Amino acid sequence: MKKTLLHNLCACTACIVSGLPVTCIGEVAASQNEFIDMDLSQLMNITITSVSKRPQNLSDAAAAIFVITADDIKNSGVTNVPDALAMAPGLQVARISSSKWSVSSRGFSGYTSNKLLILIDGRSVYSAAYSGTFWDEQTVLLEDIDRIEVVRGPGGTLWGANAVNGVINIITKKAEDTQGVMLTAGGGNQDRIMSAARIGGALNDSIHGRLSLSYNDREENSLALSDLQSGDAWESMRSSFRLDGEPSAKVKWTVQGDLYKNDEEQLISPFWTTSPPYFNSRYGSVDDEGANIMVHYEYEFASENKLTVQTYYDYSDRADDFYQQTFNVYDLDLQYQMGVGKSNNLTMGTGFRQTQADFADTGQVSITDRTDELYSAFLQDEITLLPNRLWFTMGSKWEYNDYTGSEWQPSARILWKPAVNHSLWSSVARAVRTPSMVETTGEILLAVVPTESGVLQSNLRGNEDFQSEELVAYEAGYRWQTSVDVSLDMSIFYNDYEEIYNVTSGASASGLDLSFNNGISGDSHGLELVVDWKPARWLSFQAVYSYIDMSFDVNSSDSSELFGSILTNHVENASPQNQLSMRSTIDFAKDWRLNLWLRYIDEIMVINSEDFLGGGLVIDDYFIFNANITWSITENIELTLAGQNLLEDRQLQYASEYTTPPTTIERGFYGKVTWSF
Amino acid sequence: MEGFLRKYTAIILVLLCVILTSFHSEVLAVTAIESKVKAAFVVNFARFISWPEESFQGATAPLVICTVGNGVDEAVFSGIETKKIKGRPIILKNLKSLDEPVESCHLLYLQDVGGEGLRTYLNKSDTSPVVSISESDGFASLGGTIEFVKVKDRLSFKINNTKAKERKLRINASLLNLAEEVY
Repeated sequence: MKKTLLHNLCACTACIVSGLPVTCIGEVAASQNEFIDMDLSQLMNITITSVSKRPQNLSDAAAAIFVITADDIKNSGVTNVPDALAMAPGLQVARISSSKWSVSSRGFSGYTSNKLLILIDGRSVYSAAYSGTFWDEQTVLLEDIDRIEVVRGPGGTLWGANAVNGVINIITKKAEDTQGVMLTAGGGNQDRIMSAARIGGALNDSIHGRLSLSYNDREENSLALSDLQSGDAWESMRSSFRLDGEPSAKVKWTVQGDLYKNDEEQLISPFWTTSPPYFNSRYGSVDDEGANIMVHYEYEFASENKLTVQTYYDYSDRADDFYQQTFNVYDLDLQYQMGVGKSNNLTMGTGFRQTQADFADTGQVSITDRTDELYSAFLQDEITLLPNRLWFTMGSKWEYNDYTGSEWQPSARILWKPAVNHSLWSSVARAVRTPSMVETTGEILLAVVPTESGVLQSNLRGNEDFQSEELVAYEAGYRWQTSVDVSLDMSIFYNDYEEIYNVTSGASASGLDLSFNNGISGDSHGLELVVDWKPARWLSFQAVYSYIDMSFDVNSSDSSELFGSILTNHVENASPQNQLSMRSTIDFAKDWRLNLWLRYIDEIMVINSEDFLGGGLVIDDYFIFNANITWSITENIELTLAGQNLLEDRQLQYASEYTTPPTTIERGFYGKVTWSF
Repeated sequence: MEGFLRKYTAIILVLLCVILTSFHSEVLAVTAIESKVKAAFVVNFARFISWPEESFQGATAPLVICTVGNGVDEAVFSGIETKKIKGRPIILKNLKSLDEPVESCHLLYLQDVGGEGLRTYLNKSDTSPVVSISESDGFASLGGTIEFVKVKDRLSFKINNTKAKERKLRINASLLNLAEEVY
């Protein structure tokens, strides 16, 4: 009797957690195999991944992974990569202005957020200048994206330094999957012009290629504290190509590249000048361009025995009134995977990267030109302890960099599948963020103060002794995939940070200068929950909930520091504690689809660049509602009407800690036609 | 740390409950799509294979599908009892292990049997007309009849027709045409 009661109680709890009435579970179990009546050719056309919503190996990963599929991107109606990331659990995504975002994983929001590694087809787009990502340079054509894999938690063992709080890998489609011609044209009040052309063809049986061109133009928004325009219009152009070859069953190669150009406007405030009025703001432009080319080669000696070689060259040049840089990056990576005996699967790799950075002194920011070299090697072993039941993975990466020398980033993960639909995993990992160029040799003008004895300047100076930031992360998760219509993914984490950056005074004789320091430590913990429910072929729901709580302190030796508490307050309050995202896709008639997406973002408090010492700007909790409707007029032509930020005329999502004054993002509407043949 | 522990004790308890209920016999029957698709394949294979007449007791004698192994969940076959193949009803039989006699089976689906057991089975000199099916890597090339393989996220299969002929099984050409590889 007691046991039954326990079962019922648990059943109820389970149902609350999975959002299902009790009867649902029973019904699913009793239903017959819906595939039994299909014939062989039908069965052979079932894609196991698309039916189960996520790639099959997802349930085999001992990490907090979320996959944003090409369909998710299309259904969401977003017009850029960072907005698409808002679908993922554990990420904080907020638009600062039309071309700037704060994107972070498990906390540490900010325009200069610095603990997240972003890769596009394995090419790192992490900027060594400031440890962040210039999102305006990542204008990958959304129709070219196959999926975005979002891994929260440390990825240092495989991906190296700077994958502290997560890794995001944007994976583009194979050229084989983008054959034919696709033309899109659209426009609206915020996304003024959206246009793209893509052509794909086969050179022969084994080589496929494509060329994509896109041009976008976005309208400016408005300032939060006045009704003035925010001067942030943004024009972007990109051309990308990809060639894929599969000359034999053993060999695969890819050559791909991009060429892009951005013309942006931006309002810089404060813009300090050494002559009156000293405190100023300036409407300026950003000229940004870049190109990259990558070669990827895979040779499969036998099953579970594979060599991968990848190399790329990446050039980028960025110039505005505040900051100017030219980067040349060369990268070479080798990876070898090999099965050893019945139960071991070894992956090993080595890499080299050279980063040439040239900076121009703008009077606002200056950084010493430098060429850095990075060497790395890693080894990971996946051990099958019980076939199809229990796996243990351990490994470490070793890196040698020009700033801190050797860095080790070990991890250990365990995965248990007690039954075919259930996976439980847990992991411990260490990750580091190595110093950026600005933290080491940079100089940022913070203020100009006229006094009787002359004009004094306060600068934030780099510190040659700046150390790597360190994280030890403890994670656990549970996944449950029912037969067809419900899946659940939950993860919890506890992160222990040390040597996190802060700024301290006393860097110069004048006493006005500040300098970077490793003066903060603390911890964070949180939970992420994803529930997918597809009750019918024409109807699907996804709910994503993320919770985080961060607690940071200035190390006791500098407890008297004013700036220490400003930064710890920022870290603790700039990331929303609760976030909820609910999406639904409804095929309400033949050829018609409606997509709804509601997000809730909890209250945050951020540093406002115009009032750095002013105690922070509170942004009340808010909802963002996006909706779009798609009509497939014929098999080849599709029409979409979309609305974004529908609930408010304009919404302040975030305020940047540098240069950009608080900017509200306006409500947007657009229409778009896609023609493929 | 204490607040963290307190908060997460509740969450871990809820998690445990979810897991506990999952093992409740009803919920255990909930199965992955892949297993269901494979079961549908197994039933379909029977339509394309002819067994020697002596392997059936009579014209309407049942076709016996045997399953064996840790990975087997009989629920994925739910719904087949009502089906008929060439006029024969289907009987499902779950074997405890491969040590049991398999001669009475027409199809034998080995799921997650383990390398040792599989090798022992394949090394048996027995040539009774039994169609063996498994997803183990290399199963068909080592003498099994049909091996499931995944090609670009879709399920396909390989057939060892040489061994099938030794067992007096006749596999229809259209099934052989659909196969990824025929030995």
